[in-house]
Amino acid sequence: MKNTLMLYVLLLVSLSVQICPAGYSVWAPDVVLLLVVFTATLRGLAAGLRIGLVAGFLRGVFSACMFPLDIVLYPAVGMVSALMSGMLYGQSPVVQIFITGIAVFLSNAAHVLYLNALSGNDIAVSFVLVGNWRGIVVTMISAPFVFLFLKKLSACQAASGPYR
Amino acid sequence: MPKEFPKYKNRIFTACVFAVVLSLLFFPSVFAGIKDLTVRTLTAPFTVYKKLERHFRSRDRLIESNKALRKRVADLSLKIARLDDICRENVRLRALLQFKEKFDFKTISAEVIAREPDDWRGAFIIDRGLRDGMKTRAAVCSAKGLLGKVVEAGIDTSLVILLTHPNFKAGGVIKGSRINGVITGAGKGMAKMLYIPMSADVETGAVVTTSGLSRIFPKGILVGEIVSVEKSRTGLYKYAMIRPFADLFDEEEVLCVVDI
Repeated sequence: MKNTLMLYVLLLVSLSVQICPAGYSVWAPDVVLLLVVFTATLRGLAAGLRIGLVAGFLRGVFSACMFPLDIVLYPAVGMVSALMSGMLYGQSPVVQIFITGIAVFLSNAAHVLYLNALSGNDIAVSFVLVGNWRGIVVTMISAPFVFLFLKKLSACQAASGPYR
Repeated sequence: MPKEFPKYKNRIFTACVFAVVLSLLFFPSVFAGIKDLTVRTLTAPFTVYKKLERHFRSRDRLIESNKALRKRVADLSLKIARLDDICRENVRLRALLQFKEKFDFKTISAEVIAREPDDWRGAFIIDRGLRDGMKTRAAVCSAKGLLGKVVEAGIDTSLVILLTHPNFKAGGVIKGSRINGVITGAGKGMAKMLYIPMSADVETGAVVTTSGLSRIFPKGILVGEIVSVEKSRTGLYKYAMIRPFADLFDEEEVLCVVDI
């Protein structure tokens, strides 16, 4: 229970930092997505879907026209991550980078295609991926480190008292 | 907490979650209040931090900033006086030509309190809503030029899409050549002007302003400069990529035009 609460608190904190008008950086990783992927790969499908739903809701609230997509996309990303982690060895850093890469690609592609359908534009997915390459690379590379940190945090929480 | 969690409780929980999600999607009026509350709750720490930071700013920095601002006010006052004369002359000349013009429009100043988490599209939230007289589709500008428009006006906050957002559309005109087109967002800090005739001679570096034809954006607001011109896929028109003049992510105070 404590571990779950900690994850949701971290989700709120990371989203708060992302929406802060100051301190914008192209090199910042997508911590919200990393949290969803972490929960899905290491806690399973149900946990991934739940945190994906909350993350999708919160991101959708702060996005223009994206709420219907985000509230479906993030649980879907959690589901895909959980399934891939089940098929591959989720504890391996390489697999974690790979799963994060898939999640980031899915997120960007879904947003581009949804906006194109909504507005009648024809922005290419590759244009966005190339333009966002710094954030994508940093998110993928930081995945194993973030996952390790979160695992240690969960272990500290577990050691400190009764846990689920 | 028991190890075995009854499956039926999981199903009930999932069903409740789906019901909430569907109601939020199909009954947006319910969503408006929840959204406003979520935005204000999550941005509250930054509002408090900003207030504290302003309060504890050093005295010397304030004095220096005050000096610079006084000089700027003096310069701008001279400019305004000169422009007033030009404006009056313009009114007289237009009256002579019997044009009908409106020069006054109602504006609301606002502060940016949150931005969209994904930066490639461009949207932010301001601290003015319906209660302050905000209207949907109001134009949002900064001192440097057009920033975007309001797409959702909540009770106390409003969502603004930048001119680089793919959903943004406005009528634009190229200064000098007076070629009209439609400005739309192209993502990643750029906009583009569509439907430029193939025969039109458009140069890079040309300045684009709002045309005023859409009746949302006042005429003559600076948009950006053209960085490249290309043919469309269909070959029926050209389009120009525009680099906006306004600082899309650095603006903290903006001006919203609610009535033109």
